Amino acid sequence: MIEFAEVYKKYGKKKAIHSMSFALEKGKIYGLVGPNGSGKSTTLKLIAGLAYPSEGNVTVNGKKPDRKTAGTVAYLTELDTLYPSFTPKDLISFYDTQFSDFDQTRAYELLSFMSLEKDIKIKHLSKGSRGRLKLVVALARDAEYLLLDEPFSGLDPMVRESIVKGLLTFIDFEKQTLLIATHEIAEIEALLDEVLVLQNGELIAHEEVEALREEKGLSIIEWMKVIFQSSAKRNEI
Amino acid sequence: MTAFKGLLIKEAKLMRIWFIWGILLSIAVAAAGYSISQYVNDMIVFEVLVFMILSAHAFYLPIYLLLSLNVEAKTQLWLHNPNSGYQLFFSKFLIGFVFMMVSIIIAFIIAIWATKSDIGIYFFAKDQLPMFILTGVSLSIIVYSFYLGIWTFFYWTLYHSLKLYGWNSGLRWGILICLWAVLFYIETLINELPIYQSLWELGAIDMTSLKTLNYELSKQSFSAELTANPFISLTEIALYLILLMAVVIFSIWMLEKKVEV
Repeated sequence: MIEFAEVYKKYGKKKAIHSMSFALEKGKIYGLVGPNGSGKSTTLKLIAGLAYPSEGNVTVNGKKPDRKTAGTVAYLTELDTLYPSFTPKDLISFYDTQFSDFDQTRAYELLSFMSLEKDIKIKHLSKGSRGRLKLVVALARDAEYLLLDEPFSGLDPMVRESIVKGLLTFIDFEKQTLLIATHEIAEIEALLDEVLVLQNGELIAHEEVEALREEKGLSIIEWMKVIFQSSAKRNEI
Repeated sequence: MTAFKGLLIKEAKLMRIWFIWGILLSIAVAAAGYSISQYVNDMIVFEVLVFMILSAHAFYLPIYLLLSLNVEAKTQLWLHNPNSGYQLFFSKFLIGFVFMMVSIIIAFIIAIWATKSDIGIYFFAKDQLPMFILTGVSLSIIVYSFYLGIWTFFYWTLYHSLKLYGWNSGLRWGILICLWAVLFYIETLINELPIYQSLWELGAIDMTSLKTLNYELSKQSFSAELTANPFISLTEIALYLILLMAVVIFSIWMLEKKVEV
């Protein structure tokens, strides 16, 4: 289980995360949504052990995350910065040596599924191909937790569709917990079990997607509009 | 394949382009010096440049580590890794060290070739053996680069660890500079302590027979002599080794627990 208890994260005077508390259970797919700068990437970095809270506690399976948390958490960064001089084959070989849960056979299946060639240097790949390659190495792991930071950012609809298909085909929904941070909700709405909405570093809502649809008759986007409108009214008052 | 071997291969692939550019730069500077010397009909330019290339290797490891670490800070791939900080650091350090050795051997061969030519008299007195002196100089440069490399790693990890407190880059740079000044001051104070002097003398070895690197610019009508300290202290070397080990251990602890990217 991943837990946040009254977590604050500051960068200089700016509060990136403000009084955030939630718990994520195993075997579910979560969406972390909100506008740019709402704290989505920072939240994922705090879970991955790439950043540390200024106040409060973050735990992954009861332990405070640090660099070694990478053993149980697979993290796909939002940054478009794979090693440019590597080929996809080099990258897969490297990951295979670093992560005991990395499945090289699955990685090559994913590579083929994503229509990527293994011997072209990464610097010669298109942005869409690099985006898919990041997903290949993340999904080829049997990690308990999978964190995807803006996996659709800057990608065309065809690539987005292939990424969603990749998620559906290669994730073990029994064992793995998936947390996707994005502000492009339409692509993932059908996948999600629960959604967490962030605004200005605060968690302003946390709902089950099924309950939203059945009880409130709203899609996530419609629900978010309602939330943000009421949040704006509160701020005016 | 082990995780460490994977890290070594990754590091070599990641940095080989810088390594090749470094060697090409050395050769280009030496060739330019040789051409200028031929043009002005005075080989001192060539000799000075070759000696500068060799000396510049003192900064090879620190520059190498900064380039490599900054790539890793951007990609975040290096830090998101469950293997120990020692493996992460030593894979970088080892490849950097191998690259430096290859580069310095090339510079050394050029320097020996320069001194074998008839212009070698500028650098070395007739009774001195260029190979012997250049070997000593190169070894000193390697040791110094090793020392600077470890401190570079320490300051890099500290800089990125200070992000934890939300301080901006200007403030973090300020802290690093202040810390450097404080450590330098403490080192000076320790060097002046009577107990340190006693310890220093306890392990002192007379190296008079290896002394002097003469640098004579006779054609310019003056001469200068750089005379190395004829004594070295084994105690001092042991203390510096202990200090470097402590710096490495502390830096890796920061890498494991504090560094943010």
